Amino acid sequence: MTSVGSVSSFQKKGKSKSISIPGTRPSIHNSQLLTSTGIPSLDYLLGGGLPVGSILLVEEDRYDVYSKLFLKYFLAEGVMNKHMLTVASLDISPQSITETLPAPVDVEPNETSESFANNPMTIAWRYQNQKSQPTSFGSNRFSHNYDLTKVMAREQTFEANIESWRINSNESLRNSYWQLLEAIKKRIETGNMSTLDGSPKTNVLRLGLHSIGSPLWGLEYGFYEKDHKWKNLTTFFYVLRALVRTCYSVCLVTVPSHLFVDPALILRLQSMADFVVRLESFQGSDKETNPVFKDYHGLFHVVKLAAINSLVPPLLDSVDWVFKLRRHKLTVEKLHLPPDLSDTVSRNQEDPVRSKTGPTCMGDKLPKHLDF
Amino acid sequence: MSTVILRKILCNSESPTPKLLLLTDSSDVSGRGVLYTLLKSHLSIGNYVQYLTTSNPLHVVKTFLNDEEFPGKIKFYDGFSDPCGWDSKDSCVHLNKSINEIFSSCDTGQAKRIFVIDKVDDIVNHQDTHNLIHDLHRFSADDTVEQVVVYCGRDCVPESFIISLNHLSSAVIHLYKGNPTRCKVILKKPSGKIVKTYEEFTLSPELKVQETRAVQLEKEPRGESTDEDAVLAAQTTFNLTLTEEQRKSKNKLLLPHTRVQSSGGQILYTPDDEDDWDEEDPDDDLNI
Amino acid sequence: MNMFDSVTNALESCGVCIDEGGLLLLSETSSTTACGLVCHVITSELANNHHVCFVSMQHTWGHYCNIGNKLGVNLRQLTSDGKIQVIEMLKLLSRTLDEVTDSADDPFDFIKTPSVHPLHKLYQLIRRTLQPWLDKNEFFILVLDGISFLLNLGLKSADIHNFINYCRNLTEMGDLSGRYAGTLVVVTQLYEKDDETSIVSSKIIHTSNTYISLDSLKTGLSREVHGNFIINVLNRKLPHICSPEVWTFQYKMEDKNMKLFAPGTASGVL
Repeated sequence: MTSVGSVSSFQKKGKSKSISIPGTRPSIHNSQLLTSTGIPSLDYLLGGGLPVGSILLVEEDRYDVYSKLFLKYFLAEGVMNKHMLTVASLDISPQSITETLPAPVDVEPNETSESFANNPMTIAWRYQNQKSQPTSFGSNRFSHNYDLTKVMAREQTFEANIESWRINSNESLRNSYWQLLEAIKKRIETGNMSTLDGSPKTNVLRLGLHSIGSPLWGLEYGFYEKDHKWKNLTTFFYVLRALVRTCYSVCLVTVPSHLFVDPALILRLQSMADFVVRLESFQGSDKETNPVFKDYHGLFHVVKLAAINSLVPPLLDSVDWVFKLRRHKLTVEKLHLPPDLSDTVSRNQEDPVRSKTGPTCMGDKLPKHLDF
Repeated sequence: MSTVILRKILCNSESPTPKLLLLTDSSDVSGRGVLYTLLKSHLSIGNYVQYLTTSNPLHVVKTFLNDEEFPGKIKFYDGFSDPCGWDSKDSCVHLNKSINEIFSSCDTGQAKRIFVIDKVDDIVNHQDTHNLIHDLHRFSADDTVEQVVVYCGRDCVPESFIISLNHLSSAVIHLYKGNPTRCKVILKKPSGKIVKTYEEFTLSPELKVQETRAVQLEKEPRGESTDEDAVLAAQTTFNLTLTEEQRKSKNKLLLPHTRVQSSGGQILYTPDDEDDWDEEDPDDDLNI
Repeated sequence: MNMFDSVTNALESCGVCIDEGGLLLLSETSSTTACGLVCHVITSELANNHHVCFVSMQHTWGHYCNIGNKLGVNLRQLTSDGKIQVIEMLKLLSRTLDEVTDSADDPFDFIKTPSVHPLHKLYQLIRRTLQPWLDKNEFFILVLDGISFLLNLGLKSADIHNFINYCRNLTEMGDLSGRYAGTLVVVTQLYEKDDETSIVSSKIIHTSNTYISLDSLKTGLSREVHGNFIINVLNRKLPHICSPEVWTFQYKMEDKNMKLFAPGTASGVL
């Protein structure tokens, strides 16, 4: 129990590990081994990629449209790097996810709107040198390009080492969480992925868990809040954290947090994940018609970025992020207010993103108190 | 008269002695000093103290309530060292036992027995609150018992438990943060009279109550200050408040532009050359 | 080997002494982390030639070792030297899924088979680890990092509090001169909307000598100020003092440093 020469999945990339694992690269900031989420702009937000041994929690948008895409990108990237994959869902069949992964393409799908990017700016020339987000990572082909309009070839997914988890209907529904954990544990053992034995690793296990905590999983529905019937879910997450930390794996979990009544539950889950993002889709909300958001599909809230192996988490240069679904690809971007081209230039000064009590620099709405 | 309630209770001059005394504190104020003060006064008048400690080791309590100072007058029950029997220590009290059982070894012949439960929130961790309330009630109804002192952290137990303890007690002391420490005292006299006061006090290093005085409070003091000004004041290096004295002298200060006016107001006007004194009625063209 | 000078200075100026026994509570919120402070406490105690027993519930031990490496402290070496004993909950938890577990030894047995005293086995494990130091009367600090994570396993705050009382007991087992055997350091998580976490914390505050809370700023996030660093000191040896003394600082985490400063004096403000 007392760990002498403790082994963790966060290891310094030293000489001992000469075999490089496909689809990984060491972080430039610290010694972590990073993997790609399949979406370069999301990798950028996470400080270069998802470190091996960490969990990315995606809080689903209300209708689970976009969160599913994030999951597919994540899995597609695993297929391309020949990673081991485990896909689990009770809401939809895991096959329906793996059969519709986006197809890889050689070149970045060019969107017409992006062709302007290289034109020299004539009016807002001051912004000429403003770095837009790095969209590609140069010669280091870290993540692949995907085209959402095409589906990954069947032979490609067929060859991949994918396990689709399904519930064992012979056992009672009560312990579906525990069944999944046992399946993951087995997978780690058969793939020899555990760091506890200290053997060199040649692959990474990707866990794509869809809609964990939805009514199909849980006992947390149909009870009063005070009863705290979500013990199974929090236990699942804690043990999941333990499993992911002690083996060569990365995990993307989507959770329908909008279904949770007790705010304490999602706080607990967030504390056990390393990175947490929340998708707030504009579908069916009044933000859909707000001109500020006309170029985007939803807000991308970065809830938590953990500092792993270091004192400071990845630093973000903005607080407001949005996601955009183009025809061929999904990207995460900084929120830029669109230029107002109408005759009456009177933009609604109210910041639609921040809550109304937050500090604003507009005289009439001074904050009640400032911390400094 | 109200100024002495806390002192009266702590110095045992309240007659008859409240049967069940509830003392509560919270995470930002400690009632330990008050508890020791009360027990010292009990011991000094020769009462026999039965002390159950659950949140402090015996030797720590003994540094304040020395049994050598009061030989044979105080008996300790160690409910801290091994409340669940994990370490299988024999001399320790297991807290899943009822209060009656815990104190059963007490010699009933002694007159004026004081029972102390320090602290009841630890006992709640181990047993059913309903049984506990019943036990406390039965215990305090015993004629041979002079007083049962129940010490409890308000923020460690469900509010409903505090309410039920309140209901049982004949005297309640709630402590609140402040300098001097504030407290709310409720005394239910046998005559049916209820005395409820807010008081301030400090304790001397020898554990004597001093500087007690009643204070007027519009609203119940809260455990934590929710006042935004207080939050701000705590975080700035500037002094944002004035003491009463400072305020008075501030108001007294005569600023250079203020002129002392002796009586009433007057309009003084000195006409100069350019003033156009029009004798005509300016409104004569109006049809009034 | 003192890690962060400004933390050392602040603790000294507030009269906080870690190696005098008692209980030191550190609390973090969802947007602040006590990780740096924990590292500071461990290394400064190791520098004082004390032993450390580290029970890690939220991070891996490797996480701390890597931070240590960055700051020039080789925690791995100290672990293999036996100066630090580590109990890694994440490792133990991942073993509970093994089909053939030694249920007698597994402290997380209670997940599968409910128990009246779920944390009994974990306590025994800690006790066994500390025993050599207790026997030799050598001073140690016992760090319980992330105690609120136990709530996730369905434990009640009463279970946790009981467990902490037993751990306090271990540190109180000094010789007869009244010296403490060790200091207990507990790290809790406080989430505003989660009552259970605040009950866990406030119960511990009642018995702590020093309570340091790392609070997030109420008005949002800042690049220069990562949160408030509030030190509460209540000397349990002087019961006539009823209220703790409070000092408020603000802090900023840097790549290799934790910087404390008086409120309102962040470099971006001045």
